[in-house]
Amino acid sequence: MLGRDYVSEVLEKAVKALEREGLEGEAEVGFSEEQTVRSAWGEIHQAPLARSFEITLVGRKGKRDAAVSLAIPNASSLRAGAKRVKELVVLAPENPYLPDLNSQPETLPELSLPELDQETLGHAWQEKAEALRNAQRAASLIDCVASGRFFTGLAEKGVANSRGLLRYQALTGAQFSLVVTGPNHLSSLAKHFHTAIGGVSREAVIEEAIARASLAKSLPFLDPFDGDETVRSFDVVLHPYALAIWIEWLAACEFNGLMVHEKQSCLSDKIGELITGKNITIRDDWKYEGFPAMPFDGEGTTRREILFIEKGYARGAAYDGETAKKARVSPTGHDLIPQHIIFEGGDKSEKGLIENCDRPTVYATYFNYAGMPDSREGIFTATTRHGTFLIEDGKFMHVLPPLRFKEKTMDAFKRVKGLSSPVPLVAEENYDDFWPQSIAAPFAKIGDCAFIGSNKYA
Amino acid sequence: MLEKDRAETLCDMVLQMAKRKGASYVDARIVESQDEGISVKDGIVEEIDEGEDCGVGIRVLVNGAWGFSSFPLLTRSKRNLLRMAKQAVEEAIDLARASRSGRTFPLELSPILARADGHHVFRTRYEIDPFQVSIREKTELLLTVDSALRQGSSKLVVREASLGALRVRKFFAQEEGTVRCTIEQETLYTLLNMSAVTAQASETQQRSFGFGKNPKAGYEAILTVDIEREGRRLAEEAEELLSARECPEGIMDVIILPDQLGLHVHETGHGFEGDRLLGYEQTYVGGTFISDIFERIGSYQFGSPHVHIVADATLPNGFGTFGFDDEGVPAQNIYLVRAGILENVLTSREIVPQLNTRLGRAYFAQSNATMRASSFDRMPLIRMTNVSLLPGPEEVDLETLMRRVSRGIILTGSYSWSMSEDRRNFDFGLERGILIENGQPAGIVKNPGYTGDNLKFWKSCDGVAGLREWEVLNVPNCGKGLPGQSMFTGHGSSPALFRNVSVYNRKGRV
Repeated sequence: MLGRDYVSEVLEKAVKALEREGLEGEAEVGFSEEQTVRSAWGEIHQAPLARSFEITLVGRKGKRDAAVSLAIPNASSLRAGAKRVKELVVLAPENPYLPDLNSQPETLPELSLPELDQETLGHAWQEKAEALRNAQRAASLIDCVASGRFFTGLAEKGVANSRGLLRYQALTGAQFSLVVTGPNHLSSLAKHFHTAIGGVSREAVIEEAIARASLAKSLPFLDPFDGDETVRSFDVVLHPYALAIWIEWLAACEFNGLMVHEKQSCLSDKIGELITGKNITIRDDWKYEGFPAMPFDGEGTTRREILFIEKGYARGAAYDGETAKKARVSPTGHDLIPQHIIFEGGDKSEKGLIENCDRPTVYATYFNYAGMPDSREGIFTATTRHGTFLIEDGKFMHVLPPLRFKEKTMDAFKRVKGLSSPVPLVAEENYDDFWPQSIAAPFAKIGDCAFIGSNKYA
Repeated sequence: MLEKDRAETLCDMVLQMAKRKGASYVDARIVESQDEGISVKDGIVEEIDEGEDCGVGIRVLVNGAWGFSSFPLLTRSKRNLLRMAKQAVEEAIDLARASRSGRTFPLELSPILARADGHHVFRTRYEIDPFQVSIREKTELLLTVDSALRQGSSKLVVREASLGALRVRKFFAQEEGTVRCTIEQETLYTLLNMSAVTAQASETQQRSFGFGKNPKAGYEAILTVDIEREGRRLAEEAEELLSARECPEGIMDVIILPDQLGLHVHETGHGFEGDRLLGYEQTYVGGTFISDIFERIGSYQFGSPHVHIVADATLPNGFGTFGFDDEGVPAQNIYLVRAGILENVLTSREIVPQLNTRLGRAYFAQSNATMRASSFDRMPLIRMTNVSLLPGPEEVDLETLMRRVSRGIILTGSYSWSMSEDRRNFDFGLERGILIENGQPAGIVKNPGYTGDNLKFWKSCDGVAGLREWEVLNVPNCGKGLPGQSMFTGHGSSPALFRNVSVYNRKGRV
């Protein structure tokens, strides 16, 4: 861990180095340390400990700017980096949309956040291995195998600039995710995130994955596409895992201010209009309980709460400084893609949603490798995974193969028949530094959804 | 980059220490990368960025289990470097011991048959170093693209052009028993992208260039593109799509052009990854349909006889080209599918013995060199190289394929992609289609898409055009693994005809 003092010192030196070159400057530091233990079919196959560091110097002169990222944060490297930024700035044409530099806010919400968890910082790899062993033992009792991933991470981020801004935030996190697989392509998923490894409910994860796998094993198999049908319509009950994947895509393609501004979002030209059922509210709030907190974005802008859809009405999107200038709105502090999204729920329970199914209904646990065949129309597609079931007369009656789901989002959101309270979830993908996207999603029942095929098995 | 003698000293220390602590195998990888990006949007230069990254990754095998640790080179002080390396070795050894407690059998590494010990060097060949071309020249080139885009249509709402370059230098050292080997590699990638979005009322359409069609590593890749013509064409086609007919839906013949077929080969290619066969990616995007047919490897009719798919890491200057993979195995060119028969999968040293055990026979002799890591702080994984559909006979071209179609559609321009967890079910959205009626083009259509089953799809291949129309789709962002790794891969193909494919309208308008 670098720590607040070290990061602040490096940032201040970087900004000063830029100023010595006659530039206004902004600097950003990112450090991450991640430890993952991963198993496949009960065998641990990977245990990497990753550490990465980057400092980026952004220099500007009037409306021109350029950036240089450095691997080494010592004084001579910062001086050389600042000189190179100056050379590049001279070559950069003016950009009328260059965002304004932020000043230091009067209050810093990050200072009131909880201390980092020391056990998580130590990564506890023996504990992770034990959890994966326990998962395999439990899976073997139902003639299945367990593949798991137990992760701990630390992320630090700091931003400073020539206007006196200096912000720093660190975060620890731990996530245990488990996939139980068995005969006939049976698959089940469970996962749990907490900012401290001690808070991760290992037993609950194992229990959930095993329960869904056992259900799949106990039911007869049915492929709704065994006949000549090319499209079938079913009511669906979506598990929060599935709805969260859908929301991830909405965050990237529809609630992204650049996509809205460039007329490529289904919210483009629709702000203020009723676009879904009135039982739909989707918003962003980094302070939501259960989310890993991040109070500011890469420009040091404090994250604001955003309403994307309020009781069915399109309300807004996430904007960074540059896009905000183009769209003539205020930046929201989100680097374009919202990171802490809440799909507000309702008063139903999962059990109630299932029991009240009076027509054949597909229960989908998860969406795999989704896509957006058209962002302007908000069309979403994915195959279901990790437990797809047919509910009849309020009971699980069949296990189904993965089905390809395809829906126009806002039309589907007009047919939402019931919602549970939202469950906070944290995405597992971490391609760069560890700072995960968080989504709170409810169980959702949606009427008349389109499926366009099933995944056949050889 | 650390000087060679300092890199050797550091790696020596790592190898010796890991061996002393019980590692039967150890490798150390010092990786330095240099990157650059310039982008222009709507006539405004929005980005001029340069960057560098440098660090060390250490992988050990202890009692048949892997441990891996890494650290960024935040300092060049010898004392600090040695201290960080010592800590990382200890962490890797501890992690391997923890991993061993979760294994029922020890991992074994297949031998490296085609490599001598000692020191090896590989460098990408290029004519013009993109980092030596002035920023001014590159910026002007992008503004020329922007101007060409603007000339192509008055209905543009977004014009975008970008240039990128990446140089990766690696120093790799490996010790296994008495065998020691060091490898220096330098790979270079140059990327050009451009796209146009048009709008009319609530309708938007786009056309994009992708990341180039030529396997050339240096700036010469950019100079081979007639950027003004390409820019105008993209904008004209994006405008043309606004008033084009909607793509019809139904079962029909399709001819897929290389800018999309390369992506289809890519998404299918993930299914050939040997680690997915063993469940290594179950906790992320899944397994593979090959699992169900694996026992029949060597005889299973995966595709029609027109289908030859290779994984060629030796293709000159491809995005998936290298000299040695990240466990020191020399690059290879192998058939995955030959004349439609499933012949091989992508393997690593640890995967080969496990696959042979699963098959109950020694089908795989050695790793086919596909282990790559995206950066110093990531463990190598099985990654596609240049996984390509080989061209068909020279006398076959797009025209001759088209003449064989009574009702169908030509598909081009990737827009969206989605795959089932086993890579069997696919769904692709496209930018542009050209209807074919009685062997002749019958007009442009917008919003095409196609979906289906990969095992049926490849069997339905009824012809592949020849080498003259063979192009390589460059992919700079292939994602895999947890923690995630983004990788460069290449995918060659020629226009190819597939029968009876399910075509749909991606906006759902018909």
